[in-house]
Amino acid sequence: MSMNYVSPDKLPEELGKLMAEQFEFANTGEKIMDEELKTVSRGFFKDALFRLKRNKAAIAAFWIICLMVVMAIFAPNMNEFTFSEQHPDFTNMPPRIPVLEDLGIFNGQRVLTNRRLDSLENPEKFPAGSVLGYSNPHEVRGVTLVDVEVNYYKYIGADDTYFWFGTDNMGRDVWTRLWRGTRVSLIIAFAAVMTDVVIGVIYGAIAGYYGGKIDFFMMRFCEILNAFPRVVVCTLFIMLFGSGMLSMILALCVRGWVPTARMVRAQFLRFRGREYVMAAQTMGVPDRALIFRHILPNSIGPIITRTMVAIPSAIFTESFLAYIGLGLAPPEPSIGTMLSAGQKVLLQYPHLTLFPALAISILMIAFNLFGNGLRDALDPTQRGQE
Amino acid sequence: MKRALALILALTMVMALVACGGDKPTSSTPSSTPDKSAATSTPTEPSKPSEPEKPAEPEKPAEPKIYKTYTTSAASNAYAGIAQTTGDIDIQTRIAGTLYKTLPIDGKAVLSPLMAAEEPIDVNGDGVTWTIKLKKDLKWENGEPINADTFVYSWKMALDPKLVLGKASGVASNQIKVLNGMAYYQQGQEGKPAVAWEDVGIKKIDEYTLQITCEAQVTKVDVMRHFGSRLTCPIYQPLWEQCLSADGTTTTYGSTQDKIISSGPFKLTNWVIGAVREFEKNENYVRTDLVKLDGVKVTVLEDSGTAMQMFDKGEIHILSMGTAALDKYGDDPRIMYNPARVVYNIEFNTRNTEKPILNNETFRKALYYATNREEMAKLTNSIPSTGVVGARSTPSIDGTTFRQMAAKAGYEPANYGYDPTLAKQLFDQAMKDEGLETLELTLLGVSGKAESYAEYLQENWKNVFGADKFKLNLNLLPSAQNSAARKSWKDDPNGYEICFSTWDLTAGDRNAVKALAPFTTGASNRNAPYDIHTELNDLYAESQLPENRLDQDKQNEFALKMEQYIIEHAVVVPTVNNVTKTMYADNVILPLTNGWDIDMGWGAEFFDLAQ
Repeated sequence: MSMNYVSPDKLPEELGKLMAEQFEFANTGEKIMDEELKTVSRGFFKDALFRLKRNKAAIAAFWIICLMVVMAIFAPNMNEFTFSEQHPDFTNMPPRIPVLEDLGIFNGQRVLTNRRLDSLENPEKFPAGSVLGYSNPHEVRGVTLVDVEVNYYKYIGADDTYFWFGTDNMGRDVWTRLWRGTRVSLIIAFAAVMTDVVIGVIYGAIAGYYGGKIDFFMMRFCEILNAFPRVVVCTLFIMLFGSGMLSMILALCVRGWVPTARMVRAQFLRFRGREYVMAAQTMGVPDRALIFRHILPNSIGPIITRTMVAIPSAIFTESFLAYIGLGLAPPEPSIGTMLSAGQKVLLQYPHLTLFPALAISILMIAFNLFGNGLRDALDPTQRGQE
Repeated sequence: MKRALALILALTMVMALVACGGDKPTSSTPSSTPDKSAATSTPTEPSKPSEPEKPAEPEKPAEPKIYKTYTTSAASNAYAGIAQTTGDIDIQTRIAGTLYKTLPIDGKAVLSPLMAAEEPIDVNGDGVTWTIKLKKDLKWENGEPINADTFVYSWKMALDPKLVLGKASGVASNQIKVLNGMAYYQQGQEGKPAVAWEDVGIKKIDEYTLQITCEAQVTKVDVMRHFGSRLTCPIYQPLWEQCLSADGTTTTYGSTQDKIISSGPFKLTNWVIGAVREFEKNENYVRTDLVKLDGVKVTVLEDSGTAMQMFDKGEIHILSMGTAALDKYGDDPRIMYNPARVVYNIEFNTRNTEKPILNNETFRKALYYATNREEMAKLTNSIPSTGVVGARSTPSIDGTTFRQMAAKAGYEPANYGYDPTLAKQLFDQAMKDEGLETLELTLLGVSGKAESYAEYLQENWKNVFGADKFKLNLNLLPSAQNSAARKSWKDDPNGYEICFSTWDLTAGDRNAVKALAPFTTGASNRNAPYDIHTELNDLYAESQLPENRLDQDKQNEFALKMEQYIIEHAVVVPTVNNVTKTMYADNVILPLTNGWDIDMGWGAEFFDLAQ
């Protein structure tokens, strides 16, 4: 609607009485600007961290991983036993933990099945105070057998000793071995994954950046390598270098870098045609700088995610190989070798399977949750959405 | 939010697992008074191992007696000339008929003629040429006759120079050496002269008579034991010819169920490799009167835990017990203990150029005295062994074991040869001799077998010699790779350093010299270079002279001297002798009064089951 001019004569009477000096200019001496933005500008990583922090499961997983790492470093030295120290008289002892034993769990008690009823009175076989009760009397060939519940530590004559997680078939302390095993598993996993990443990134970057024939041959080589079964490769390495951490890491690395290389190659194929890359090329930036300074930083998110997801899979592979007998050379424990030994006597001595199984389950869950959290956090499509 | 929920769920699951695991013995309230009335209501009379506990109920029709057992070893070939694994041998013992066999006669194990009509006859009285008469009604499982031609053909094929079967020495050179037998078999090898079959000491005299010529004088018992071995069992010619490849270099005989014919107590009716083997009684067996079972079912179980559960449920009749099973069955009176043949020895690759200290006797003695055999034996309920001849070896008529003889001879060191002070002195001396400050050795072993022994020695020797001076690495490989590595010293002197060895030699049960033969240069199947121990080799060579070989007392004297030499010069380091622990279900009736015999074992072919 257009504004109609109104002559002063037709103004309402009161307005006509207003004097010119009664008016003054507004906003003089003041700059008029757009309203200031209320959101804060954040970098990629700050943004990712922000999103990671909002993922409670990932944060819990992160602290669990930290705890496991700390335990793996310090726990083997927390009692008087070493990981290889054997006690042939104290084999397969049940767990006994101070404080918890007063609550009735992990108190070093066990049921000895099929023991002669008449031997319960024999102090040489059952020292005083070791028998807590018996059940299931049954007769076999004229001998009465019972299941005797004993305080195994008193029974074996080690009442003042505490094996927190019990002992294995050689009388070695499971607590010390478990944490040392966790350490070994973590070292193998980290070393293998780091090597994977270094090889994979360089290989994938070269293939992706140069493309063409180079890419074709490099990728076919990857496929050939990937076709070898892992167990066979691992057996060959063990035959060549003997069973140990080195052959295990090498066996994990020999194929492990292929997925990283593929992923990095894909990232390079995506970015190498961008204008800023072309601009840099035109300005004569050398290939090496283009690869590592200009393109690679764009792939850092997927690389980190891939690393975090690869660690639990490396831990699991190591355990699997150890489980089928291709593990570390004794006496060095790993979670896999402990599980492998434990499952053979699962029904008799469940503690030998229970603790390593718990340790690997917690590690796997924690790494996977943390890896998922990182993946979501570093996902560029999620940026700025929350 | 969903992720948090997932985490909570996962943690709940973990906690539930913890609760289940920790709940073992503690939460169950032990019953303080035993149910005595219940205990006394069951029969209290002690029964012998061979007596059935549950009397048969007459009104029920008799079920077929199927003996159910298990094995950890999958079989791959059922023919004796090729059979290698324990599983293969297990089939063999059930389907192979032989000329002689240790049979259960009135509860006693007696070496008797089986397919032979009578004991072998020494033709010239010189113990070299023997005739063996066959029974006339011998049959294969399909009813076809077995006669002298069958045996001559079988042995000719077993020794065939084109086929070169792995177990040919079982026919040509086991308890006796058949004239030109090995020469005929080996003629295809480089530099070996050609030998005609006519020159081999195996002849058919008539349809039911065989003549065997030996290379040297042997005894009647030697001949009977030789032809009592399953390795001399007959083969079924029509099937053999079908299975032989066109060029005659390979055969598939025995590789599947339909490629084997039985001449033994049972016939193979179902064989799923790696899973199950089922047998039925062979009604055409020559001593079918001794076979009480209607059939046998062998399941392949790799897990000892599964075996324990199946035994408890009555699904198998036998349980071979490891440490966990022993702990579970505790004082069960059914458990039977038998010393095994096998001693775990440490062998040295004395030719190793990188570790010349292995050729240093002082060092080997240090290892001998550093080994705490008593503690080591505790780990598996085995017995410490100061010598290399196993506890099972009984080379005397009166039942005296070789270990008892050795104890009497007095050469075994005290405390099962464990003397850490002496060991340390010897070690320091050896290190000085070799100019070494520290030493790292690698012990080659088989993964999954005797690992605890290897791990024990690793810690034991380290503690005796000092962790700063000595380190033992373990290289545990699968069985096939292990034996390849052990044999590699012939081409590569540094193929291995030290290794675990076990020799399971049947012949050693009755003659300790045979148990010691693997530690001499002459043994055909040796793995380690023993040629450096000339005195030991001379002793062995002397023991094999005609004037010594047939005299049991002289053999024992030689065996004692040889073992003394082995211990004093630490040719190998013996550690422990395994003990087999076996438990049979209550309804299994063992054929022998004593349960077990050194020649016959338990005699599983002749078991009976109480209905």
